[in-house]
Amino acid sequence: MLDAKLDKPTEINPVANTYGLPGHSIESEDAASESQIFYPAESVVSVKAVPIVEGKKPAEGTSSKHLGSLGKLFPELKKLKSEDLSEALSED
Amino acid sequence: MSVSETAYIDANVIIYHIFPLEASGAAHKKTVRLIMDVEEGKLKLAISTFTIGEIKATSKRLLAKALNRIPNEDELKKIADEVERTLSDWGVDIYDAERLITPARTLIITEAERIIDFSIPIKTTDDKWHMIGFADALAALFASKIPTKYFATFDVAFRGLKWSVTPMVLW
Repeated sequence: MLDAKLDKPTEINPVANTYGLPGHSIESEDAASESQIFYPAESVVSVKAVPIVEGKKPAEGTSSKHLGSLGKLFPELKKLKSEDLSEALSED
Repeated sequence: MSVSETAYIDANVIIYHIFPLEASGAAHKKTVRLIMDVEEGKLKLAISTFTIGEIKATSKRLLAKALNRIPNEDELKKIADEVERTLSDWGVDIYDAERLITPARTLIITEAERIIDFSIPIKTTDDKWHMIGFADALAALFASKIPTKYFATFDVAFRGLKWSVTPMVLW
């Protein structure tokens, strides 16, 4: 489907619309999804990551404030053993 | 260690800290030491929405086991709220995993496969072999996109991680 459309005259952005190998370009509206686009290394721009939540330096005593806190909300969790936690974590 | 040094925290760091001490065992002492370093300004913590998703999934699994039934929405919200409060009190910077990969159009599966290819299995003294999994590789990838210097985790398999973040294994 994409090959047929290459016959049309197109205005090509060599960076944004480069597919697979260099020189294989198509119109941007032909792009089925962003995930199909291959961006050559030279087009990758380093962008500083910005947090959606910026944390503030914790107050003294914070290190134990939430220790075991879910046990207060759900006493049933105290039945769990360390093997249960290890097993649940390894399932990811 | 300067305050500019940042560690990405794995899901297990939060899980071992907020779950009851009966289940977390000695691990909770190591989480306390880690947070004390943060309190003293020696370290800054970061996490992404990907790892927060892992925390939610693991918590849901453990709560279902403890209650021996499917947890309801209110119960799951209580856990989500406690995770959020903990991250807030620890001063953790939270990054949107989607935004971490979008600007550079990262091919996340390809890069995670490379992390798996580069990393090596680790043998522990109990004669067991450990290797990071694909979700671990994705978390390491997000950490490297922030970027953070360290990856704090209880997963010993991270000793075999060969990537741009340094494993800080609390195991």
